[in-house]
Amino acid sequence: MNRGPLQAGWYQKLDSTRYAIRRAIYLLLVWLTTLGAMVLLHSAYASGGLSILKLLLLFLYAILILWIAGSFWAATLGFWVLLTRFDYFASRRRAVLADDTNTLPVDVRIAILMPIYSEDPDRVFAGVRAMWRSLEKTGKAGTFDLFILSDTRDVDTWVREECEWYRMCTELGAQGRIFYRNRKDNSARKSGNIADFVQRWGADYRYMIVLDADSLMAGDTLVKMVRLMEANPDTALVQAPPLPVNRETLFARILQFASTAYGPLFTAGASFWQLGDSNFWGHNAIIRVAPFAAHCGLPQLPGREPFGGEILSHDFVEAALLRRAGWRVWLAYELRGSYEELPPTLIDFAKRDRRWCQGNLQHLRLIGAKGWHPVSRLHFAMGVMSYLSSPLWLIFLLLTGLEAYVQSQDVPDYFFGNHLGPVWPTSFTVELKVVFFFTLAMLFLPKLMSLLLIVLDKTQRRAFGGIFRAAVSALLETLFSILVAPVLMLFQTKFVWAILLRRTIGWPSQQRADHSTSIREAVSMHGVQTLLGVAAGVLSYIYLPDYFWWFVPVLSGVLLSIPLSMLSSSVHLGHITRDLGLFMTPEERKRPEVLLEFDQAMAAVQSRPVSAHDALHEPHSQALHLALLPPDELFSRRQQHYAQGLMYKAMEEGLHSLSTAEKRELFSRADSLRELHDWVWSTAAE
Amino acid sequence: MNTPGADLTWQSKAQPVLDSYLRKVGIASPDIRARWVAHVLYQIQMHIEKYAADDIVEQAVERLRGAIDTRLARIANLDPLRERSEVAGVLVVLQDEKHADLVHTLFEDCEGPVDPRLREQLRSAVAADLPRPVRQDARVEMPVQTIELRSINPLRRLLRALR
Repeated sequence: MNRGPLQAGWYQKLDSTRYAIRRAIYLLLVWLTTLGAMVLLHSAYASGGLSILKLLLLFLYAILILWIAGSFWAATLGFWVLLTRFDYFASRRRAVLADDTNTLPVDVRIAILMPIYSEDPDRVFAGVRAMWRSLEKTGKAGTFDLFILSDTRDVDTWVREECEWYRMCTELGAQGRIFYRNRKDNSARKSGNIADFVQRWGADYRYMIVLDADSLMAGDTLVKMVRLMEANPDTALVQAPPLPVNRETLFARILQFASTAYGPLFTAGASFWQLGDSNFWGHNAIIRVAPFAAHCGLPQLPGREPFGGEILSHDFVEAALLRRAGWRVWLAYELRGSYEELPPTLIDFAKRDRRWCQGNLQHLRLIGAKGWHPVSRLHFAMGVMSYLSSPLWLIFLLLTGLEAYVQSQDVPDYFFGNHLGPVWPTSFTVELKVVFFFTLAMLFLPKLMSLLLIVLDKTQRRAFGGIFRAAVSALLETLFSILVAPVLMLFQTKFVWAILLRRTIGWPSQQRADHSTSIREAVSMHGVQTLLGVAAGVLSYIYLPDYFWWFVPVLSGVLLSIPLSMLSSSVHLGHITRDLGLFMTPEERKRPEVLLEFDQAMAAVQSRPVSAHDALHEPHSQALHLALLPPDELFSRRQQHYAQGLMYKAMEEGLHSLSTAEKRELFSRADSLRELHDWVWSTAAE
Repeated sequence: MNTPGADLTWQSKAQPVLDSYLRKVGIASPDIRARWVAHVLYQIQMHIEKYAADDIVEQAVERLRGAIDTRLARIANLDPLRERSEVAGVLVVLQDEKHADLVHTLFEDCEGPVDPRLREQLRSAVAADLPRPVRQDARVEMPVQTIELRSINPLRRLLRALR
């Protein structure tokens, strides 16, 4: 069995003191900050005794401030690293990449994997074309193969994928280099799709680069990742942080700006303390195939969904399994040329969150499992907290309101005990304000630090549209995030609640292309939130008039959620802000070569819709579909009768009368398809 | 049974369908198409008693498709029955416009002997453009890992004992 570390690589030589010092610095900062905030809040609450309500508030605040402090200090350390460029490990990686003599060995083969599931084939294949062309320009394309691993169930999309794939291979001259397969049984979703690749073709490849359907990676970056792996034989996975690109709605442009401007701080900070125990983000990462095969066969968790069954957020678990086996996992935050796309609207963003939420909450069971590296446990906990923090914030806000109400009902008693004169109550407003602004500072300072980095770097400054525009963009983004945060809090609370009630979701494909949110959709998704906002506003205005204005920032977002969701989904507004030079990213200002290739490929899309009917009627589509079907199986008599029944149903009532599963069954049988093909043609004579 | 022998209109129905099919397959020459149509219609006529009038055109299409597959299989040295998906792959390759001349030559004849040079041309076309869905299997074992979840049973037992 392949157990790492394999041999003494240069990562192996680093002394463990470096690890210990960095983690000690980070954890100390986080704990001291939490402790400081707790002492302040405790001193404010302790007056008049600690009620159960106050204790509960303290407990909740402790969890939340720990979470915020962790994020804040990661960003601050990231700021320091990016400012000084003082990072021993990143310097070592840069040295490997700078060494031109360090070429790829002839025997190394790399598979680029693109798992897809009912995505828009035009988008998918434009991305593949762009990456392949970019790779060809490096002169190293001969070392790579590309696999489009389809789990698509819908037959129309399946047939389109096949036709697009073949057309692309012919155009690129990549037959035998870019492969397509549609999995018969899509068990275990994406992780099952990857596992199927590893089990069937893994022996041919030393590395695999896992992508997502909306991933784009520059050829040069792909080659660099391989070189990093070659230089570090104890490393099983290197994650390249993807930057969001290509979306044009206002919502997505704001997020693209935020991720591009602030993201590097957080990734550099995460890398600072996570080091070789980093995490896998599910895509845009290179993986050493042998240890992955040996250690990442995912089990089913006992019990039923949503907490049992298949592991949904497989990436965290795979990284933890690799670490458990002694392999390193790195986040190479300095790698550029790695991209992804964001959901175009607030509602799509929330829908994606719904799936991620279930996967992350499932990790609650894994945190305490035996054998994990402590940092892997932290990854699980952070994933859980990224969703659990929303209901915790909501409870905290509600309890704060309740506590304020209780306080307002108290009649002050100035004469008690043996005091001759009145005893004035001690005011702790200052402490409470300090805690409040302290928390806000930790939330917003990273944005300022990012802005400072942009200001200090001439190239960056220009790339973000100049100091003024970058600052205005950051300000507007901050306002937008203040409004959106409570909306997302309500969404996530709903998701967590649904999952705790054991309501599972399926595996819906994502709506990735730009589109506007209709009033109907906005009302159906935000209607209840708006009503809750109105109720909370009225109640706080009547019962807590002194505190009402403190709640306004939270209430505004919720009350405005419908127009906010609709307006931010506008492509037109996205274009207007772009024309004004707002929310610009370096990738928008000067398109990198792989994105230009992608634009060209998208512009060349021939929108002749191919459907299942083509595989029945068009000799070319049918021949292609038949050529790609796996070898004929031996079917039982019952299965044969079932297929025949489906065929006659299609003949008599039309293809549309078949369910997705029935259609798929029919289109998986070569004999039935041939018979239908002849029948379709014969009907043309009538 | 309503036999088609008495009524030859089936030929006039089948003829344009077969012609259209051959055009879709990529045979541009009307002469060659007419030759293939005639070949298929003749074969059907030879065994006309076997067919019901209702599905005679379907039978004609099936025969035509079978004839095309057999021709391609012969030239490509494939078994037309056991290697049907490979034959389908060859058909896909030939439908690229750049192989129009080759298609013309391949289908010039319905059943005649195969010129070895033709076989070579087809082989090189297939080598370049055959749709290869996947590489040959190169299997790796991927053992399912054990994740030992910590049971909360001790906690449950404790709570029960306290009760």
